[in-house]
Amino acid sequence: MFRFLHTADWQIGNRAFAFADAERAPLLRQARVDVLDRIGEAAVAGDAACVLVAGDVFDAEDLSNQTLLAPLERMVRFPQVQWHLLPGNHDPDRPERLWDRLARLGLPRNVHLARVAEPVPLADNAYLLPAPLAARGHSDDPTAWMDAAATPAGALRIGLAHGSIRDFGDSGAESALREAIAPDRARRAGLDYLALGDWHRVRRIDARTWYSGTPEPDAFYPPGEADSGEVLAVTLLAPGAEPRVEPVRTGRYRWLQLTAALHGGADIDALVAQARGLDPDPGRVFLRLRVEGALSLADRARFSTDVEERLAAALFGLNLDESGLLPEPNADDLDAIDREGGLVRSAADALVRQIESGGPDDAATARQALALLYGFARHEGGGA
Amino acid sequence: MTRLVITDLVVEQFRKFAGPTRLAGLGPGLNLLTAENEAGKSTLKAALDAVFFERHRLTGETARAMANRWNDAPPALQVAFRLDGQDYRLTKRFLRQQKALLSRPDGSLADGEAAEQEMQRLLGFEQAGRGAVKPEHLGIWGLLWLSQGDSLAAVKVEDSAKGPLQESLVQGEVAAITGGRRGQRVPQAVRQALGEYLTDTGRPTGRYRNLLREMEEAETALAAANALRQELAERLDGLARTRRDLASDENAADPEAEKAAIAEARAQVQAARALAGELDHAGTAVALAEQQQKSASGEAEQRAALVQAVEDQTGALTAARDEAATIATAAAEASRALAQAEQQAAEAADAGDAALRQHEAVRAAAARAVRQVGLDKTRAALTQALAAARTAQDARRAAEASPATPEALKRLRALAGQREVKFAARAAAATRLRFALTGAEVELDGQPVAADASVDLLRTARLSLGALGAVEIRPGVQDAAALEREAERAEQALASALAALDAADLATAETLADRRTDLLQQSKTAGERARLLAPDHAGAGAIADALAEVEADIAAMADAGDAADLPDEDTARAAAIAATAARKNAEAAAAEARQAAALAKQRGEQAAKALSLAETQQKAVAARLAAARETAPDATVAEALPKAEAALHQAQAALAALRQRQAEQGEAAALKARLERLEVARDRRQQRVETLKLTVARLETEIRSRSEQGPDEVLSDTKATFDRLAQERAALERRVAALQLLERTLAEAKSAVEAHYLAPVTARLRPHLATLFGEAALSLDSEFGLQHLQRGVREELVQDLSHGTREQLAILTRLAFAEVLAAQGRPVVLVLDDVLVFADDRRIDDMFAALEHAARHMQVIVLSCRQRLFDGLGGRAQRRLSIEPADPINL
Repeated sequence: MFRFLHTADWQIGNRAFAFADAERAPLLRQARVDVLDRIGEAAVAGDAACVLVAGDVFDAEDLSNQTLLAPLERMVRFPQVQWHLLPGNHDPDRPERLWDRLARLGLPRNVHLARVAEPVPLADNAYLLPAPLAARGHSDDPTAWMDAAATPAGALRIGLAHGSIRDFGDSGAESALREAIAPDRARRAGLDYLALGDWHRVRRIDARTWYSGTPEPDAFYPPGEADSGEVLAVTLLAPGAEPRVEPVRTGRYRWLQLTAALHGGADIDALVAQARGLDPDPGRVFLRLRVEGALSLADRARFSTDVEERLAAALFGLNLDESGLLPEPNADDLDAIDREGGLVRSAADALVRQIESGGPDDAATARQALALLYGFARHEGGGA
Repeated sequence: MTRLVITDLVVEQFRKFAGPTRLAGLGPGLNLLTAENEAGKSTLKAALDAVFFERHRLTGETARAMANRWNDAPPALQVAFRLDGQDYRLTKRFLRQQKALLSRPDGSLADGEAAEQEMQRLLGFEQAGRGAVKPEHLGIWGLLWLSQGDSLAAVKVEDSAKGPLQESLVQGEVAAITGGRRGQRVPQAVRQALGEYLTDTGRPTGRYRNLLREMEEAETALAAANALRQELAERLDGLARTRRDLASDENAADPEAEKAAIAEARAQVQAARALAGELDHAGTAVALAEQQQKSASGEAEQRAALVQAVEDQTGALTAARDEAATIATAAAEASRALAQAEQQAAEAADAGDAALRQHEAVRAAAARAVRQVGLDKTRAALTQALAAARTAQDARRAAEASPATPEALKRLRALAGQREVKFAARAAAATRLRFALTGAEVELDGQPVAADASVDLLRTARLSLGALGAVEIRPGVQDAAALEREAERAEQALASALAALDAADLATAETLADRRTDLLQQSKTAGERARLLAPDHAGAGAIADALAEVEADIAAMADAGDAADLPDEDTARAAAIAATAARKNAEAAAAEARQAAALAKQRGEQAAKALSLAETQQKAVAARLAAARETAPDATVAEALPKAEAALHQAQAALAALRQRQAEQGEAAALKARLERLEVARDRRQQRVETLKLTVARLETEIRSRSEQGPDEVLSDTKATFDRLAQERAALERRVAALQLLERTLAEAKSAVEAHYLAPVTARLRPHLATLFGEAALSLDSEFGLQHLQRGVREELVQDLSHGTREQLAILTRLAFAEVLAAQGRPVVLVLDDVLVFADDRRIDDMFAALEHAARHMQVIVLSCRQRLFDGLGGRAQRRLSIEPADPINL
């Protein structure tokens, strides 16, 4: 029996979280390193001999020494666990680049770079067949060599690769340019398990071929869809036997996305209830929220209070897109601004006319002006 | 229509009034109280304020100030007023036993707070909070009831007044004006919100400004990060390229093969250098052999030449000797011929001399004959000339002897003239007797008288008439004697002159003068002829002398020799010519003979010299030949040349053989160049490899240093920052745009409303202004503040106007407000305490007229200390008020 953890796409050094504000972005970055502690803990807890990282350990090639060293320092905390790192398309093994630098910086004894496509003994009866990438894009199947790779008879053969499965649903232009791995590589190469990276959510290709996803989320998914933030604990009982694969939760944050159509106060209430119920700990939810529809100025003000202020405070982060939400002033709104014929009211009426007759840009400005006027009038109101 | 009229006011224990005191005489229209200072006018105004507006439960300083200073009793006030024709009475007591009681028209009463609230409702003012009533509570009343000094202050319409005022001002737009407070505060809030982003001048400030700066910084950082990445990429490319080049250089050549090739090339160069040395030697040997061959050949030629020279010199010597002998013979012959020729020449010279002498004698005889003829001619001419010269001399002498010179003749003529004159004068003075006698004889003074005689008488004469007797005639002449004398003297002078000329009369004298002139002419003619014939001699003496000389010459010639025995000249001349020619020929022959003799002598000397030279040369050549033979006999010389030629051929053959070898091996220079090429190629590659290795090392270092800066992270960070800032900026600018739109929209709305609600006030104001200032307009801002006074084209800031004018404008504006309110049916009373203190007389008049006009529609109460002035104004509608004791207020 051989136990190990399968993970991938750590994307350490990813700093492009422009959708998060300046306070949260560093936390998200830090989480990508911190998750290594939980992976190490999971390995120890699950009695896993090693952690196989299927590429994109780093998000880019030209990173500072500090960024390169940070994950090594986490791995060294778990000396009983052997960490095998594979170059992926974000961190290909090119001369004088990241992997040379890592090697120069000096690796902890329990950290191994899988830079050569040749069998590497993991244990007496287990061999790792890595398929490192040496360039950002090429179309040859990097796992092809595994078919002919010789390992001692009766030994476990574990493939480690990064890239899209050929004819995989994810047929975007980018992946079409990238390496394509034969979906039946495990069978053809007699692999007991093929650990894949590149897809950021857990995905089973077949009983022996899995994507582990990224251990700390970095993209928003609708609730209910498999989200990311897990590693796979794999147990190989014997050569040829079907592996046992169990996801282990490692992610600190949950990145979720919602879209809501709002047409009144009740919709706002429902949205707030749904958002608060996304996770038992709303404080770990990073929510991308897109709202659409039209709200009266009064309801729009309520939305500001209930969602933009209160809900945002409850969550780790709220990435709000309200470009589809239009303030729709009604008679009550206008009366609340000022009584009919009043000075302020006549200004509000003028803005309503601009919303109705102006172009999209003018109308948008007028809507915002009207919402502001509503706020000012309510704040300054209370006496004629 | 006047809705509200205050009809009575009683005060008690209120400030300076201790006892109950009434402001008596109140009624509709213009109410005027004029009283001295300290009379209590302002106290009465304060009493009106208090009873209407202060809560009866008021405590604190304002309440205490109401109390009479000398008295402990609580102040009480009572006012009666008529509202819409209904009479009300309001009574209040302050400080202690506080009470408010409103007596309604129907007799019912409202007590305490109910009374207060009903008053507020009836008159439209606000309940003050806890303290004393403040202007903002008074509404329009604060505007219309002016205390001392208020009128001078800028018109300040409190918000609470504005609302009601505006409500009243704009009929049917009450709602528009209810936004009053909001209308103030919302734009203010908008401005404040905008102020967080933009300065008054529209420049970004606060977060907006910081954001823009941060974006600039982010852009700079982004550019730097991109540059860093670019640098890294360039170096990575460079490294890959350099490594390729290095590999290519390192794999290009087999070092061993290269080494062998260089060694072989070097050996070839050395062999070629040895061959070149041999060639040099062979070349030298050939040159030497050539020199030896030339030397032998020269030697043989020299020997042959020497032998020939000896032979030639011997021949020449013999010839010279023969020549010398021949020349000596010729010289002797020439010498003999010379002597003969010189003899003949001497003879010819003598014969020539003789012939010449005879010819000379012939020529002299001929010349004498010619001279004889000439002398004869000269003698004839001189003889004629002498005769002429003598004639001339005689004639001149005769002329010179005659006295009848032209001068003498001229004097004679003058004397004749004078005589005529004197005679004429005598005749004129005389008595003329003209006779015409017929035969009778008549005598005068005894002298007969001719028959037709005419006699002039100067003295008494006697005419004898014959038979008849005589007649004495006595002329009447005065001085007859003098006349007679003068005539006589003139007669004598003439006669004397004639005598000198030896002439009888004047005609003779004339003839004599002519004769003298002829003589002179004759002398001149003869003199000219003499000079013509003997031009060289002047005068007869000279000519005579010359003639004598000629005569002497002719005589001498006759004495010279005779030429009878001489030949003629032609013969003599021919003989002389022939003799001269013979002499010249003889002399030429002698000269020729002399020259031939000299030449012969010269040639003899030359031949002797040549002979001597030939002998010397022959000896020298013979000596040289002998010496040469002594050194090398002729046989030895003859053998040396073939030997030398054989040696030359041998050396040339050796050289040719070496050249053939060199052609086969190649030139040393070419081989050396090839060796150098091989070595340079090797060195260059080694150098390039070293350089490339250095470049690789440098690039590796540079890549490392740049990689370690983490350009991907930096770029990603700066990009994220920039995107974040850009999002924030877009949101912020949307908000600013919305705020600006809002501000603009509010301002437009405000302008529209202002124009609407200010219009009635300005309309009411216009006639009042016209009364005081003529054609004038006052502009108000939206706060009813007084802005500008426009008079004609002149626009002045109200704050710059005089106190008096400002006060008048303030009162007129209040009048206008009050009129507008009254016209809208609001209850209005205008109270003016101590106003118009700065107005001049005319203005006071006008202001008073305005007040009177206003008082037609509302009650106007004026309290003033300017008693006399106001008394003087008079007026139909005015009421005179007075301060009078009253009954105690009953509460």
